[in-house]
Amino acid sequence: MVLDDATLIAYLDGQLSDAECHRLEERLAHDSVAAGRLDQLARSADLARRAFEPVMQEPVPPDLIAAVWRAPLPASGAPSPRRRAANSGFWPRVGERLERMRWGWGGMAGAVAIAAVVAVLVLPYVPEPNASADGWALRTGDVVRGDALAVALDTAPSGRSITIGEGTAAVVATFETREGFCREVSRQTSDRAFSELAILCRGDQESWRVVFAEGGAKASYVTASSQRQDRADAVLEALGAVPLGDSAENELLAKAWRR
Amino acid sequence: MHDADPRAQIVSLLPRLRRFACGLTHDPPLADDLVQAACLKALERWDQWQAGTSLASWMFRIVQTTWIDDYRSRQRRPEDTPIEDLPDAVGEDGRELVERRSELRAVRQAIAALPDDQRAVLMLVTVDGLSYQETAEALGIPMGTVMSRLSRARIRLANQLGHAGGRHGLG
Repeated sequence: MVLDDATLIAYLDGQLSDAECHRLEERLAHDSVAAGRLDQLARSADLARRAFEPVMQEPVPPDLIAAVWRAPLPASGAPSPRRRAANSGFWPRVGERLERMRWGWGGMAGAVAIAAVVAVLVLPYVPEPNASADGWALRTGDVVRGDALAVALDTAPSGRSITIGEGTAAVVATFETREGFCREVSRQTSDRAFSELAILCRGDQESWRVVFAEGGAKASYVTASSQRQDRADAVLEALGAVPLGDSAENELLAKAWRR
Repeated sequence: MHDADPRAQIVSLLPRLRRFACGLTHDPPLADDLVQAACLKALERWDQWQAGTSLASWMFRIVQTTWIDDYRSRQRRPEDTPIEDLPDAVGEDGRELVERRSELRAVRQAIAALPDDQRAVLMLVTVDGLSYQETAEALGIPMGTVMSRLSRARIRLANQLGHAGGRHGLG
């Protein structure tokens, strides 16, 4: 066996057979020059990896993620998640909505298994103030801009459960209203101790304004959330909201919310 | 978990694609442009990806060909490259950090100075950890070519860093 650089590199890259490794290691034990060279090659490879580690550590720019999500879904791809309001005239009954929210939007037609359509998209970690209800809760009048929730609202199709910071969010549906385009979103902290339902309307400059938000601890979840749904529906009705179908929504996502 | 939506699959690869593109371009903002162009291209040609094969390898190949076809000719000269825009690793301080910064800067400069074809192989095998076979598939070259390019890149890197650091030289 020739102890050249190529062999040492193949050894470091785990590309030699066990027998070759064994022979090489025996040679290295008695050849300090080759052992030194191996060390040098290993060290430079380690440095090369570490030199690019910061790129892996930093969050992916939200604009880049958004650009991928805004791309049209390939025609030959798997069927996109089907969902709700488009098929049901107006937003469905409270019970149905609740059920779908709980399961992350199963298909209305029931043709697609729920597990298959609940996709989890991991956005770059954006620190939330803290995971407590106080730190998490949205308030009416808040403007959301530039964080993971804003990216989700800008780019995620309805029906997706999205990991953001210390919890998950699912965009429930998109509506055209007197206030412009609005989206209903359901969020919960990762420990599921706190959940909230919110409606945000898109403003200028990629911001979303909270027009309805109501959250609470899990203990009162079922009762509170059905009342929460009723109040959200009342807000939507007051806004003259009309739910958008899949194709209209996809078009808006692709055009970055320009009409 | 595999998501049926190709966009979700591509989003999950973005950190690795950005790192590869950073190595190719040695210009982080340009790297993000390149990755975005490559992702959109991949979605346009999604029917060409064979399910069951490595999506990462396929995506690396599109990044590489997009770089060669659309970007390299517009590349800034090496002396202008703002590679030091790369963020520094977090969580360290003091003398060690300063030493490490300058060392890693030297490594990035040494990699930036490699010929394009050697740099691509080095980024995929040494930095990303692909096997020689996967790298051959990703770059559309024979495995023997992967090995020879990798050897040249690694030897050059080791020699430069060995001399720069004054350690581990063969003497």
